[in-house]
Amino acid sequence: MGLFDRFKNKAQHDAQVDSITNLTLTSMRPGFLVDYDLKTWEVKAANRYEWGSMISLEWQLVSADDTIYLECETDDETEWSISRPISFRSLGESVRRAIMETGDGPDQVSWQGQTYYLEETAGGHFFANGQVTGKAAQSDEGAPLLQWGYETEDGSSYLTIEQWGDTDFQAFAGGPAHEYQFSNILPPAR
Amino acid sequence: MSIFQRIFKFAQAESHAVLDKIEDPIKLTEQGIRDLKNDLQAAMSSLADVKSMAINTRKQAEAAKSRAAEYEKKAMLLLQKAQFEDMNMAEAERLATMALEEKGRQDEEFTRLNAEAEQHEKMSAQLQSNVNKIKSTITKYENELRTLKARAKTAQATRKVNEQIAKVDTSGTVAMLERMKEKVAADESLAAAYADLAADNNSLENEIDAALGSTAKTDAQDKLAALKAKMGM
Repeated sequence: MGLFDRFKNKAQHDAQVDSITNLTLTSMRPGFLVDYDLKTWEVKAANRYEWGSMISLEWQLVSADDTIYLECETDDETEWSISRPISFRSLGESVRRAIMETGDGPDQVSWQGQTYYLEETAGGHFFANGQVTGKAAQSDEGAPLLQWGYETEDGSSYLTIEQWGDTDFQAFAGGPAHEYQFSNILPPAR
Repeated sequence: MSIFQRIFKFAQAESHAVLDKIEDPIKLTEQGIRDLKNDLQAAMSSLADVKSMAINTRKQAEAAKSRAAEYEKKAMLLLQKAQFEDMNMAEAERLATMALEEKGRQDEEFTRLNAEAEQHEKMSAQLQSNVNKIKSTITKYENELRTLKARAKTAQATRKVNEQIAKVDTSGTVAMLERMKEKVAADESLAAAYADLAADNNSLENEIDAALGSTAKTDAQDKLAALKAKMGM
């Protein structure tokens, strides 16, 4: 090892230590740990969605008895949300029928006594653990999907319907989140 | 004190003085922060280990609890089946007993895993508190370093300005100006001296001219009279 390699290695080590001591939510990768809602969660996946020119990031967080999805969307400002998977059937047969017949989601959906109004429709591509950049990620075209985003009138609750294939639907329910609600981000144990 | 002791003391004092000169408090603080960050990295790694263990153990405990509930449910179903004569009561009781034994084992497993998870959670809380302490110390040091750097910069600038005001200029600008001033003053003095000398010479010449001037004037008047006579005037 040359003298300059030694300096280079030291600089790399210092940069690594700096990055580890200043961790943010967007730096989370699989294996990271984070505290939220009085529980410690492990990052199982860090996914990326591409909606045309827009990108949103999603982390699957797993605790001892729960799974949640943390999503970050940057448009004019960065918006965070938390959601949990729900049964698509629980939205009622009419929702499925409307999508199958018209190719579009209904204007409003009722779930657990609340009415959700259609806020946005998007088509995009999903990249599993797509935060990893590189040739493999670039050549991967991702899985295509359609998404319908709903909100309650006061914007305190969200509901999302995703269509992955002709008859493959998934639904998620949740609400807005804030970065300050998450703390103690830890990289994976060595 | 022997001569050697005195030499040693002298060398020690000198080396301390040299080190004091070399020591840069900013660089020392930066190194301190780097060391703390290394400690933090190690502490965070241990914390991640313990937290992962806590999550997994808690998961296993919950699974044991679910299995215990499942075996209890199965024992009840067996007894209900026998009650409605779908099954031989003795056989149902034998299987139900076995199911309850398994439930007991799962309950024990849950108790053990739950205690283990609690232990991990307690340890992770302690480690978290240590990590938070190191983090807050690093933040404090980083803030102090920022202030220290700003103060050092201000002090340096102030020193330079004050040096210039006091004309003890390290960069030599004021000294150069002073030298320039002295040179100009010397040139001016020389010029004045030459001027005086020139003035002296002038006055001497004037005086001579003045003295000689009257003769020249007479000569001219004589010449004019001669010219007039020649012309018959």
